[in-house]
Amino acid sequence: MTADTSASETRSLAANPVPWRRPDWRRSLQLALAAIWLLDGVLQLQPFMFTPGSKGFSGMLTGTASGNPGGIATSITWAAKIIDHHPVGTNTVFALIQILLGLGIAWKSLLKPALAVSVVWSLAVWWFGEGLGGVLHGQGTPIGGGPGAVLFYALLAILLWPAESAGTARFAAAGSIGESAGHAVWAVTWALLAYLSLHGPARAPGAVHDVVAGNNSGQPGWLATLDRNAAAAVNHDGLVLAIVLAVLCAVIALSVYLPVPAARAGVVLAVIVALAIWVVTENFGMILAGGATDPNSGPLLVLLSLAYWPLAAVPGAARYPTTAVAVPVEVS
Amino acid sequence: MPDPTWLGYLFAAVMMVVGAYCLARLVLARPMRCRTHYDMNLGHLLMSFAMVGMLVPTWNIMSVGVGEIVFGAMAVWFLVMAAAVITRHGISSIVNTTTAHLRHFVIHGVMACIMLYMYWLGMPVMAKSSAGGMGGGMGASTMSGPPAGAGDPGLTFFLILVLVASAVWQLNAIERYAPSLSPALATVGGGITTSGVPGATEAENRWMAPRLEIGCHIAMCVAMAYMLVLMV
Repeated sequence: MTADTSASETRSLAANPVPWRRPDWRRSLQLALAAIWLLDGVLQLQPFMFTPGSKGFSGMLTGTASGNPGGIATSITWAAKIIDHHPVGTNTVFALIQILLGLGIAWKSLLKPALAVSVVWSLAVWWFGEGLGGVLHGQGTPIGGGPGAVLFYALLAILLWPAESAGTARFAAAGSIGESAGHAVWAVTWALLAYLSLHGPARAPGAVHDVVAGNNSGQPGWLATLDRNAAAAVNHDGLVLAIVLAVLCAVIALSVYLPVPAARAGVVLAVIVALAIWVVTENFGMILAGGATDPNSGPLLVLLSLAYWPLAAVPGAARYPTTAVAVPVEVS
Repeated sequence: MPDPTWLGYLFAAVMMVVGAYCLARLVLARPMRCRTHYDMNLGHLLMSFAMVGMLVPTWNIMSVGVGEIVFGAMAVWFLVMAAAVITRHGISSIVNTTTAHLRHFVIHGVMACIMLYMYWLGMPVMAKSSAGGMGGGMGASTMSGPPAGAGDPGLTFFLILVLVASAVWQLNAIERYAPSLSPALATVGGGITTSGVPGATEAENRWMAPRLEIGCHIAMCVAMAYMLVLMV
């Protein structure tokens, strides 16, 4: 070995990796969030998003303005006009931001800045892109993605923020904000969903039927059949379904304060409710019909629920062992 | 009226760079005495050039028939390799930390199948003439995607998710190759930096630019996902 040993060792290490460690639960949730952002970015590149007019991106934004208070509606239409005049440039920027957010969250060196930017971006999209989720004019029902799917991106970014104490948290979401605050966030979120399930037009007899039947157009055959059958099944039982959904959400909200087995059951119930919403009433965010730019709130609610899965309690110990696994040098 | 044909050219240009780089890796690995995944780099090379032809038909160098044969054989190769790993290490090797190669074989087999899927559904993405194009959503005159109703949107969406997940997973793994690691880590686990041919020098066991290889994979996943999005 020569005097250049340390330099050669460094270069060698650049090409010969440390042992591979499987991402822990919290990191896996961060990667799932990254994947959803990346998906959103790729969906933003659909051709119609680059076109002006009512059938383009600007038209989508303009549609979210209606029903909102004057000032909010004005700001949304103002943003829509800018996009309408510069559809290619603006949509390219939006797509690039979302792709970079996804890649940034996946690359650990950029995790914190990416999460921080994602919170700001999510709030901006909630305002200008989702019209505040329709909350202010009674259209924020959870079955339609209320109170705004993009809000959950921001919430998850905060709950999954990297923290030193994350390894000993009883559930992943508690790693950054602590157990008490984590419990409160869960309870408030699902209580809000319960409220929105019964607020305004959401409890109308035909509300659920209209949502499901309205998703039919453009869907693949199997999904269109599911929509027709679901619409026929719910018929004019919208009020009953709204009450059932509200009760389920309320139970889920409270479950986090119960003993671990009940809390786990609450998380499982939350995942089931989220998946039911995503498949039946959101139809995978209408992606399969073409023309959607995000998967809607379903997968994000699933991710949020998984962030509250009670982990094995080992006070003071790391949640996952940090010892490396000796493996042959391979590119993973 | 603006239209996104420039996007197809952009992705095609990126794929050309990826393909050229993978070709360079294949050519230079042995003279540089570096290790590399020859089958994966060959796969990246072939996929990138095929995707260039799908994105910009006037740049196509691989006919549909040839492409189907090539990627059919590639899919079989990677899936056989994956089966061999499972046979050797058991079904638990899917999540086992000692069999990272299995995931590579599976994802590259899936990517080869996606190429076949795109061929069967009648890609290319862009019309041969983009002059005076009028944007207007799916099926605009400058965007000749696959026939309407081709393929199953659910399957297409699932494949998009697989690609996106693979890109994210690989990018997460890239930090393993950060050059700022302490030399002390080289001894963790005992001699893990030289697990190649016994008696070979450290240079001979060195992997060739693993981060760039991962970067190529990520670029391909994003480009492929974009092409599939056009097909939904």
